[in-house]
Amino acid sequence: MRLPIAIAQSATSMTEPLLQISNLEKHFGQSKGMFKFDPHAVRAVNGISLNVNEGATTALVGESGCGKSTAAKLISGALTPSSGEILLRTSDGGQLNVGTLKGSARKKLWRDVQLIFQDPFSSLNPRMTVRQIIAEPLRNFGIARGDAATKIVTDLLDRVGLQSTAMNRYPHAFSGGQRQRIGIARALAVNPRLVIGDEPVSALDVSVAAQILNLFQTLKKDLGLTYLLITHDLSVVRHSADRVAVMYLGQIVEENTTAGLFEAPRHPYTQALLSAVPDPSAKSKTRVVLPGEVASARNIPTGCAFHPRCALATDLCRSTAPKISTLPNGGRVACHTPLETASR
Amino acid sequence: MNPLISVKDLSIGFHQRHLVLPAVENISFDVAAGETLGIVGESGSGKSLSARAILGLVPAGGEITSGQITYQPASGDPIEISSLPKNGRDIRSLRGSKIAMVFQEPMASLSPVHTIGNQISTTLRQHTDLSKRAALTRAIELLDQVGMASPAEIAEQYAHQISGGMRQRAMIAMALSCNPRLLICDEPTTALDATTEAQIVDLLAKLQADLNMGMIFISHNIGLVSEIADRVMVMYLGQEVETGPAETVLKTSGHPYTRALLAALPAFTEAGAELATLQGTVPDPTSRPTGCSFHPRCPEFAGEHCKTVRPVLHAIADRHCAKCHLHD
Repeated sequence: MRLPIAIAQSATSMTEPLLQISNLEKHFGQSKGMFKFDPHAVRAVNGISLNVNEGATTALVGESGCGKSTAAKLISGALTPSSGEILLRTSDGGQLNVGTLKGSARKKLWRDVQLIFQDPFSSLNPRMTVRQIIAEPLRNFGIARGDAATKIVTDLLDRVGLQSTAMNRYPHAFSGGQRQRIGIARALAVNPRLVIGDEPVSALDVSVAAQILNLFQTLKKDLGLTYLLITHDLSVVRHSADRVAVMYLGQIVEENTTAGLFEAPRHPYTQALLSAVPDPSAKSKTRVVLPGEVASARNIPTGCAFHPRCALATDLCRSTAPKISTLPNGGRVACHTPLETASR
Repeated sequence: MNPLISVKDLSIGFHQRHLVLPAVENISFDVAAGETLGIVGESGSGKSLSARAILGLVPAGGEITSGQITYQPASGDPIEISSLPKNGRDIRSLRGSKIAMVFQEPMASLSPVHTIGNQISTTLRQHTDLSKRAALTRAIELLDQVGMASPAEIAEQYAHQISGGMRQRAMIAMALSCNPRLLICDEPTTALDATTEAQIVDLLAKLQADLNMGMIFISHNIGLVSEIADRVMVMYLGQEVETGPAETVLKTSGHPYTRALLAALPAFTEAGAELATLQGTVPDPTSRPTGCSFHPRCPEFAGEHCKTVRPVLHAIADRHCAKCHLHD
């Protein structure tokens, strides 16, 4: 697999991060019999630390069950963490600890953090017109009402590439790509600083997904948005993200700039994920096929969670969990036997 | 030697009020034993419908309006599938036995109230005269063949107890149960994760080579299709727009739509660069554009005759055809 080397370094990457996540954990409980309750039955997010830089696109990648969507819910305040901190820098220079917010304070968070969902069919209320859908956050936050709101909605529709005549129609009248645009307009209505996209293009056809990805790039440039992109699709990551964090069973196993990670993956899991991307330009390539299945977050293997599927696992990997360590090139990897840079 | 399956000028229409909406128009393709045909297209292009017609599974309201689907059995005369009575004995003896299918969503295709082993042995007993016990033994062998770690245990489990990748393996085991000669895979990996997708694609390619089956692999992912298929057919709005050897179609595409599909793939574009997109969306089949169906979105629009004259399939190289006025 040949990949062009493009070092994507945004101008703002040197400043303080917009979002600082440290040792974030979310465990779900489960009752075991009539009187027993195990509060740590499912370890969905198991100690992740990550910085999201302002004006950049950070991608969180992994397979189903790795905890990436739980992480998104924690960051957006929809779930309360079991432990750890999520610090969001506010526009006045202060810091919000997302995990501890309650009531109206948490509601304020949603002026800064907005979500774009995967399925454009279930994320829009079928009984509201497009104008009502997009104007609802404007009303909720007391930003605008009536004619002023209509004007903002017109601007937003224009920004996402829809005509203002769309305003009085209902979601069923639109195609999947157009609905996703409506969802984006709704997210942008409150002028957020951080936009979290949870698999925003995976339900769309190839040519439509390309239009939406281009729209994300344009909006980022025009509005200076910061994205956290949650996805399983590595080709989308390579195209759109500045930094990537790879998750496996609730933990970040590798993190680096997109170019650095795609050029030289250091974790065996990252290597397998990268080689699973179909590459139309190379007919015959050696694919790293992992044995077995992703273990369940109910029953995380001892030592390194990845060791039962890893070809390089040693006794150390089976007994001791590796700590995430910083690499000379600025990336981080959690592995006892990281791959050499030239091993691909 | 006839090909395994031969589709000639197939058209499928859906009745709506007083008119018939064409969903598939005049498509033709052959699949020989040991060969993989990839069918690529976006939603609504008619790719699944064409493949399902081979199994006699055109949904209610639709019918084959013209064309033939001919199946060549191992011995004997060719069978005209398109003229067999719907759900009659003849089509049922072929479906699931000589021509098998793997569907996209394994959870929806497997029964939630029967064990995996039970479901596979039922298929076996439907088409062979194996005893109940022999069928179950064969089912466990099949589960082993598709790479299940502990086949006897899986045979006793229900669909909800196993993971998505294992369910898809169970579906493949079921499809293979009667030694099919043609395997139709309709988006078999779309619901799966990246590393599981890699496992399933490898498994399908290996089984096909081992068993010398013909295979039709349907996907919206042109990258994936190009890895597994020998030949590729690209469909747009129910029409075949380009057919050819996988590598040729990819490297020297003959149709603007194929070129646009490839250019829209993030994997083909430099990081951060703008993705080439098609304007607009796939039109509704009720308002099919005149002339070339693709002309309103075509980035290489060639002139007035694209709007008025329907292009025909042109041979542009050995076994490589495209339906475009650029080749007139």
